[in-house]
Amino acid sequence: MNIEYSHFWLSKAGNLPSVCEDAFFPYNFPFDIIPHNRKYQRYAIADGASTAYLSGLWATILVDGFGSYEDEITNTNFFDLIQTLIIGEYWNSRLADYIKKREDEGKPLSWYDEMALQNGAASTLLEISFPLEENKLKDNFSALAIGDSCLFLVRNDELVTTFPLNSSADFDNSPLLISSDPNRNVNLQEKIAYIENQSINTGDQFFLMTDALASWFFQEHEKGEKPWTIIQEKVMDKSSFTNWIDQLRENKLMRNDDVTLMFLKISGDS
Amino acid sequence: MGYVEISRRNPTCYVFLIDQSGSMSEKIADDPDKSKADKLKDFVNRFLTNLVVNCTKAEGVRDYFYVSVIGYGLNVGSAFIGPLANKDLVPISEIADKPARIEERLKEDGAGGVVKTKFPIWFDAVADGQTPMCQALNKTKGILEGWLAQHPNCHPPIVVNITDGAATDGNPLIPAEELKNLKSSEGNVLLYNIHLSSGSATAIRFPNSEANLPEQYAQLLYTMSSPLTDDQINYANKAHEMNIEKNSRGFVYNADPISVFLALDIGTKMASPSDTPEIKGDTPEH
Repeated sequence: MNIEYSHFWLSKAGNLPSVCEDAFFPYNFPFDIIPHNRKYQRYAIADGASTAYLSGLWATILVDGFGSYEDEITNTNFFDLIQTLIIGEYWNSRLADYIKKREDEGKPLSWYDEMALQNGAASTLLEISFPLEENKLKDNFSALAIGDSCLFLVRNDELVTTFPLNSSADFDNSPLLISSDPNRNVNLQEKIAYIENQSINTGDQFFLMTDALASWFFQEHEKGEKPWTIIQEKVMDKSSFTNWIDQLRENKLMRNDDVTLMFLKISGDS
Repeated sequence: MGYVEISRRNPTCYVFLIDQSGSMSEKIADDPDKSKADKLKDFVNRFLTNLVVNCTKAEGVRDYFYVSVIGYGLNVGSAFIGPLANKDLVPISEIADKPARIEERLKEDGAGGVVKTKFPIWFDAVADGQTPMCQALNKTKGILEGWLAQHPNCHPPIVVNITDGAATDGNPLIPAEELKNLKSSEGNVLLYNIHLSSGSATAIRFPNSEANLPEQYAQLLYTMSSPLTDDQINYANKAHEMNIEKNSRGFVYNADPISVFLALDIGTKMASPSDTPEIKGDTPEH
């Protein structure tokens, strides 16, 4: 089996693409996926909290760190990985680069930048991993999630799995978030959602999406529609994705927010 | 009730009406070290700090909000000092860049110690003169008429009046009603009232009836106050584990410092569909 992969993203209407705070992995497919002796093929999306500072950067570090992690991710080593991303050569060094860049540009951090930084960046995370054996897909997947970025598994034209949320009513304005400040993650451990060793079949379709689109997906399904069919009809490329999201926003069917959609299809050996 | 999204293209505004009359020099209940004017200065300056920080993004401070702080006592007018002196309504990015000064305070670090923290100041404590609340409400009406003409579809502006006494220039119910009659396409201007106590009387928070209010003045302030929005009630009951009922008014009588904090936090909570900054509480400075 193989995985066909495509992804689409769009920043909130009114914002420049450069301030989109969603992130996904792999970005440079297939180059981000190291092509030999891997144990897992991973994909991840994250939604940086617009209420926090530099959350887009933190979301990028999370998806890169989790997406390229080579070993099994468990409840035990999850926080070690987060800690590595913060203290290791990722968050702190990117932060130092950012502060230096501001100084070089003659715009050193102001009192409010410093206070915003003290509050830490924050992001959701949704990661899905497919175990490999001799670089070939095994027959199962696992996923973990913090927050309201969602995964939908469609099999034989039926929605068979939603994760971590179950309905449009599960969304609110305060999703769980991973903070770049370890002190703010102390109560997170028991709230990480996992699904493990779920089977995959040829033809399975995985949709990973950040909250605004995920909420639309649930609402359509709750009305008896098949939102995965709508996505496949409407989304061919970046341009058609942009037009479709613009329409959903204009028709008030979707909240104006950054949007990420990742599509994975399990195909047979070619 | 779902309000329109607050954005840089469609910002909204807060107006704080600050009682600066002579009686504000009295100590506030439950805090023997500070006058009501000092405490109010800390509360509103801290609110502005949190608002600025929550609007701060890597590319700068986003102008989701415009803010006015009107003092009423010996004079009625902008309470801002320093570079913003005499300005009535100021975008949050300008507030960010132009505090009058930045003090250093000590703050609990959560581990038993204290750390230094910056405390920007935009206005100082003043306690002088009488309580011309009607003039302050009328001035606010003028400011918001101008604002609403330019922002007809904004989230309804929120006015928070903080006072320790009765108006000395007439019946404030009349200008309060005129103020609340102003509206955007999203709804009427929201007016909330916080009455500060210097005694030990128990605070009455967010009543939904005037039946049990202790005196006529409390009933007047209750009548002047707009109901809290559903979003604010849900937020209060979830974040502060309160039990506020529907139709409760944005009004606190005999407020102690905790009640002032709650009233500011809940009363300034706006509907936050996607990118409205969270206005979070902060641990008190020493």
